[in-house]
Amino acid sequence: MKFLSRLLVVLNRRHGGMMTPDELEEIAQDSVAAALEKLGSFDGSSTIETWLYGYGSFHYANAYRKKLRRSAKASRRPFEEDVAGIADAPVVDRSGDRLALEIALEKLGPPESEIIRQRYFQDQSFEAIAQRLGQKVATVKTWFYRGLRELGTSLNSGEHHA
Amino acid sequence: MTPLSPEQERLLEQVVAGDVAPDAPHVRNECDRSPAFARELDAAIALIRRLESVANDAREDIEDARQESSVPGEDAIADTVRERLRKGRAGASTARRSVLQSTVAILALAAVLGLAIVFIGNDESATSPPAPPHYLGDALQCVAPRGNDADFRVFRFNGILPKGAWFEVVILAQDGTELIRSHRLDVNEFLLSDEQVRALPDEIEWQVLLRDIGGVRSSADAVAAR
Repeated sequence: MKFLSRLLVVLNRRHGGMMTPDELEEIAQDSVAAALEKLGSFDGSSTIETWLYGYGSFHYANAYRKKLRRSAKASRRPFEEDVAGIADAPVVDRSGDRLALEIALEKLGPPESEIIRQRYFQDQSFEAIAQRLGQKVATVKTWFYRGLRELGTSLNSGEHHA
Repeated sequence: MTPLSPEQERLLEQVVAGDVAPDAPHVRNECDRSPAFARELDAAIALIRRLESVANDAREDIEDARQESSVPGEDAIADTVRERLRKGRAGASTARRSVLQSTVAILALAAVLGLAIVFIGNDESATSPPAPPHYLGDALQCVAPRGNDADFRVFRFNGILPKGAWFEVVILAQDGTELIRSHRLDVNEFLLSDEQVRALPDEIEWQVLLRDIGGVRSSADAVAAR
């Protein structure tokens, strides 16, 4: 669990230190609680750090987005402008991309988001994903394809910013 | 998103799944023939590269986190979370509560539960402890249609829905092609329209999936013919 605290520090650094130490601790608690609740779903097909990364980055992205919304409200600017600004800012460009993807994946929902995450973030083969989900490989590939198309549309249209 | 023909969709699916190389002759031919397909292929490849790049960043983050020196308060996090889980998930996503607030809440909950047990008396369903989430494979069961001479209008299944989860029914052709997928269901049946029933082949496979935000937690399948 110490890993999650350290990971959040790394993520926060990548995002330009947007979160305060108290907020990071809050995110760490949410991430650890979520991970502990789902511990039974960890099947050892990836490292525990890779598995935990999903929880840490998801909760960080969520908190980050909420903070952006609050700050946009306070400054009466549209949320979209803030997110666009982050994606454009050189100091956090790669973090902005990850955040945009994370938000779009969250919006996409399972099973497509789960398959894309397992494929790219846990280096899983389609066969392994299919076995894990109890599905046929062809079905998983179709979901993966459909997910990619929807993800692309979502990212291009900026739908995930709404 | 550009509309593609079913053949183009299948080809694009094979490319993004890595079954066909993007520079395979028949893919190149399709690109030459259809600018829309070429655009969609480029977009899909760009998105895959973007995902790979982000995944590489994630690997770097993980490596950096492994090497990160200790963070103040990290030792206390697990204890705090354990305490929080012990007190229930009710306050899990809200701001941390003071010890006094938590204690008052637990005492109040205990009092309410105690009163409920006293008033309900012999009602077993109310006095029994809550059922644990049924995430095991045998908790789900396809009831109908099954076997021969089946009716394809109503798909029924057994299974208990845990909080935050939902069912999904997927109907497949015998070769595994997905034909119909339900929306999120919170009841144990899925009804098809007459038109959908007519469009189905005479032999199908169908699955019921138990899902939550983390993905598929359990599934069951059956084969049916009419």
